[in-house]
Amino acid sequence: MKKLVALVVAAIMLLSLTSVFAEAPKTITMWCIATESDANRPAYEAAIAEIEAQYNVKIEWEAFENQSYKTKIKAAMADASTLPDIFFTWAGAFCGDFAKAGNVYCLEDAYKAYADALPAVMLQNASYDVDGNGAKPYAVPLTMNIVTLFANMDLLKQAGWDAVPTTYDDLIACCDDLVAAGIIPFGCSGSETWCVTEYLEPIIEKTIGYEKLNKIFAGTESWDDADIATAVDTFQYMINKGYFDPDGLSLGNDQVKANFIAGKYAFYQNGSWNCGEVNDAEGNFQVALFPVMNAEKATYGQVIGGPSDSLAVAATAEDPAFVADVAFALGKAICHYGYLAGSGLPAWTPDYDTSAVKPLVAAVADIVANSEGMVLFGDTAMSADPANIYLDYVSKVYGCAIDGAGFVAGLTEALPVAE
Amino acid sequence: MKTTGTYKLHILLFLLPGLILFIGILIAPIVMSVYYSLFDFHQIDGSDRVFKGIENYVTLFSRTLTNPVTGNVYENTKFLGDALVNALLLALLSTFIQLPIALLIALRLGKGIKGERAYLSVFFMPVLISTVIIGRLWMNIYDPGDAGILNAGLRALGIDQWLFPKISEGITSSTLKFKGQWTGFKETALIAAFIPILWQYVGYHALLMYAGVKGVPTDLLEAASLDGCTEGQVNRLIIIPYIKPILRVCVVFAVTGSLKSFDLVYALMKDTTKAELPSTLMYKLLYLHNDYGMGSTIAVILIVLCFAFALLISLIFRSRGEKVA
Amino acid sequence: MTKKIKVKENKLGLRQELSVTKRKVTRVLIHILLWILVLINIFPLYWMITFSLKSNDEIQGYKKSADKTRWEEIEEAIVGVTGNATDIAWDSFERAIINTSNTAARKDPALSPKDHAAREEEIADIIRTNWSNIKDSISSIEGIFDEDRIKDIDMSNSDDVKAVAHSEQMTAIYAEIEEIINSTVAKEIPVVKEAPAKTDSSDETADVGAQSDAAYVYNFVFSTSDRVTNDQKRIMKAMSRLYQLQNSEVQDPWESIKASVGNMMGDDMKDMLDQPETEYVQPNHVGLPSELHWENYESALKIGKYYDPDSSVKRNTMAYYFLNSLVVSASAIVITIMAAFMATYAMTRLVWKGRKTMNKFFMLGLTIPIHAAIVPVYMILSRLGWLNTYQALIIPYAAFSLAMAILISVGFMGDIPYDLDEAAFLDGCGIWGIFFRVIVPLMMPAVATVGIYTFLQCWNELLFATIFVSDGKFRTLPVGVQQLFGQYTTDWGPIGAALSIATLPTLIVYIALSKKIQAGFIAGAVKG
Repeated sequence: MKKLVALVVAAIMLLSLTSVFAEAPKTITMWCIATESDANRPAYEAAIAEIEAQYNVKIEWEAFENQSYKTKIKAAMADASTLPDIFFTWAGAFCGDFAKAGNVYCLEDAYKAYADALPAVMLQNASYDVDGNGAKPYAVPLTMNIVTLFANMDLLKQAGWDAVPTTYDDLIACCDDLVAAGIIPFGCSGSETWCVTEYLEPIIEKTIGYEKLNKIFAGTESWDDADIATAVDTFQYMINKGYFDPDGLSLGNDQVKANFIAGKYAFYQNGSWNCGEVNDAEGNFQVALFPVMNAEKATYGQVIGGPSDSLAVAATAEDPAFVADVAFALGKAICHYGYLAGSGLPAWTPDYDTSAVKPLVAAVADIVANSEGMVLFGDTAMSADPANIYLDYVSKVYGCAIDGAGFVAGLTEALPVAE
Repeated sequence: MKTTGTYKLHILLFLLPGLILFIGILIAPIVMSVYYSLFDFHQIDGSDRVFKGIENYVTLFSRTLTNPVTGNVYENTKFLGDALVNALLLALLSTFIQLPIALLIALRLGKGIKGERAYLSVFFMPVLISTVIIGRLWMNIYDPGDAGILNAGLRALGIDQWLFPKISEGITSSTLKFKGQWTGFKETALIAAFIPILWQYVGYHALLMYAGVKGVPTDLLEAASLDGCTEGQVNRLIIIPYIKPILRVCVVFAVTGSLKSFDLVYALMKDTTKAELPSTLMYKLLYLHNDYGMGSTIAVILIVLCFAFALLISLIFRSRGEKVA
Repeated sequence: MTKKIKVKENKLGLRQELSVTKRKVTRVLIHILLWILVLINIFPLYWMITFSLKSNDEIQGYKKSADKTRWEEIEEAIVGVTGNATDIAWDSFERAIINTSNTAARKDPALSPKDHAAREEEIADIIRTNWSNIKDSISSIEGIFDEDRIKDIDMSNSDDVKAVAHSEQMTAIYAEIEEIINSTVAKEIPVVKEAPAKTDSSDETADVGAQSDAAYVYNFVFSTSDRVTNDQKRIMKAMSRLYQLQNSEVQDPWESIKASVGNMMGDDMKDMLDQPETEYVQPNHVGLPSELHWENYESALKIGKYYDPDSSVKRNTMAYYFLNSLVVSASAIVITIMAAFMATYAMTRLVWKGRKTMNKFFMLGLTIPIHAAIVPVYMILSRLGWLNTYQALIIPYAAFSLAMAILISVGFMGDIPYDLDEAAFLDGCGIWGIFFRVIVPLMMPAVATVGIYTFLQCWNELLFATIFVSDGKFRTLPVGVQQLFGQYTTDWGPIGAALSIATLPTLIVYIALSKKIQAGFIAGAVKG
């Protein structure tokens, strides 16, 4: 009898030992902006399920509305105990401010395991030089978007053009033909300043080149550049020649987009997040980039955009190295599902079957894969105050209240080179 | 009742909820705003604050700024002057257009007319409808395309061909031609925004004045009519002086309301720079630029102005023996 | 209720009588003016309700495609009412062709709008001139409809039989054509344009070779000549039989007609035959809805920026925001009334030094712009941890309504006679007793007035609600409505319905209580 008891006790002890080895799942908290109607929501849900299984973690996540998320995360930064382990962030100055304040965990080491799947250039926008030892990555990119030129091929055909013009002179000629045929070439919402930047930034980039523009947005070089003034003047020249819908001054972007899809404009330049909608609309649409304005300084393949939506790891997270690894895996999965669903372009190199992707989205992904340089959107690259001062000046550009020289002169003084 | 200690305690208790709310949400913030306006900071917890003294105030009122090193002059995008002028213009229009209309309505209805309460209810309706909705409605009215109600009306009347070029000539802020984009140009956007604002609160003022008119003792009016006064004289000499306190309240509301007007411009136009008001600029600085110092400065300026105008108006309306406020 | 002042009954002489008429006229004018103002004020309501009942397309404008392609419409016109293929309604056919060509002409990129009318006339002329030609040609095609004829040409599967039949028939037809050409082409048909190039297909079978010749002749004859002869008709007839022979099935007669019509119109316009007529229907902003889409109201209750039909989470919908607004407003009203009554009691019923100053202190609140306190209140709320809660809005709303509430309460409380206080005191009530047993019950009218005023402050307030509450869980109605117009949704009908739902309660409450409200305002304003 005693022996039996001893055996049973030993067995129970052994059993409890084994359960010790089976680890309880770790909990990771996460905040993001993928609310129930966000286009990325399904991607997040699928990715989180996958990662939870793969890493044996429990991810407790919450989603908040875009505009108010900014305030919320800033407030949480001030009170670090409320910060989650992983949080959504935009690249550029938004994350940069947090990184420089020491609230974000550096991802240099964790990246090494993912270097083949994620090209280094994709981390460029979220890399900051925090301690003076060079720029290091602080956030994991998800899907990305670029500024795309959407073209209505049926309308172009009516004006006698079979393909989207790729040089500036051709573009002007094409616009002239369109105007002669009674078709409005471009639609732009002048009342929403970010829509104006969707036109202005590519024009500037194609005039001064992506490296210079990146430096200007980063605050390391001055706005004082005669070429920028030329670019702005060219934009206004196009406006004054009637290439832009005059109604655009008071229309909102949703109206402009609806007009384009209904066939009122030949071109519409806006973010690639519109690909899904344009792809599904009736009509023959194609995507392209804005032509080169100054061939000495810029090339056709330079784009505006790049990875901005990212995940960052809080410096206060428990076991940050592990969380960082999870964050990378999560980013890769979200990118995977997001791309397949058409809600964005892949920042991670796809290693899966991409045949189900919508044609227009795939076309843009192609453009991105072959791009020769990226500049993040100005209002994301710069922090809140300078970004909005920049937007204030841009809003004067579309209404022709200020000319190129005035734009450059003003911004040179208002946004001086950071010391 | 004796003024014992417990009595004083009771007084305090009765006053407490009101005082807590009042001091906590109104008075303390004023003091805090004044304090914040002396700094320049962009983080919500103020960890990056830099003392600036009254520099914020100077910046807000400088149309252009000068680079201290190079001496270059550049435009100040955070300039409050234009917005303030717009707000004062709105206050002027409110007082001299909105209030007289309200007064006419009040006089007409107050004297007795069939269904006066129904009329009043109808006039009061815009006050109840959210400004977001009114903003949306007026967006449709001002739509520049074929379906914009205003442009369609002008086209039907045939005067658009004549009117638009005339307006184009008056546009100085842009080289583009005016073709019915009412909210697209600075000159027209201001008036375009004002019309719904003025329209919305006519009923509110009318109701207040109607109340006053109804309160005029009938014997006065009967005496006047017996004396052979015309209706106009009755209005001028009896009713209006009698409802002076209400008129004063209305003017104060109209002016302070104009100074703090925000909702409608924000709902009507996405890019409020074309019809900037102090409140919209403040919102932009706080929420978009995260320039909390500057935003607080505008707040302080608004508070001071509101207070000053309230005082000024009370002084203007003061008649013999009447106390101010 | 004040009596109606009958000034006009004051008859004091001729001068007065003239001014009486003048007054009558002005009275009528003022009535008209009032009615205009009434219409203007009702307009937003009308607009909102019609908006909510329209379909999305009607509101935005849409491209309406006809159900049939243009060719199908022409076919229908040809077939006419009887449905008999041979009973061709020539007039409708003519009209259909002219209409189609007019539409095509409108798309001509080389023309300015002014020239379109001229071009339409031109095309119409061409069609009319050649109409008899087309008619005749088609009449001759009618021969194909003859079943017997078709039977003669045995289109059985056997290739040999076919070949024999083909070659025999074709030789005969070809000979016929040659004879016609030789006899007529040179003489009678004026060559206006150059003959089209002969399609070179020497490496193909004899069948195809014959076809190319036939096609050549066909094209040459019908695209170059402006006049038509009987011989052309015969050629046409022969051609059609040729085509028919070369195919293994009977050529669809409609295809030939379509081909002829297409040729009439020119290459780039031929494609238009296969597309339906589209027109852009302008958005209907102001008019009455063409159909009543009541389902918009149903979707409106579910719509919201974050509506996910599969999610069991019922948050973040219009209905939810409505409830939030209700909670916030009701709470603010209760707090305001309590605080205001208590403070007013202390300042009016209890005697102490400085109570008048305290009153003036509270009256300062009337001049403070609510929005100016944003940043400090935000800081306070965030330190208290109250951001994103109901209190974040209730407290500020109550605070800002307090001044006016006190103003109104002072007026009402002044009406309550002091004897009641004394009587209650003699009965043994303390200060609190007097307050709760005497004052509060008698202040019921003020409750209505203060309540309504506070309600107006809270229900439609936008700025604080946007900034202090970011979670959908606590969002109020105005912010929810404002977000409806964001980038993410384009369901205009349900948005309109949502707006109506958002406004309806205020309107209902107002209409139901309008008497009380107006009485309250009158009393409050007069005493204030």
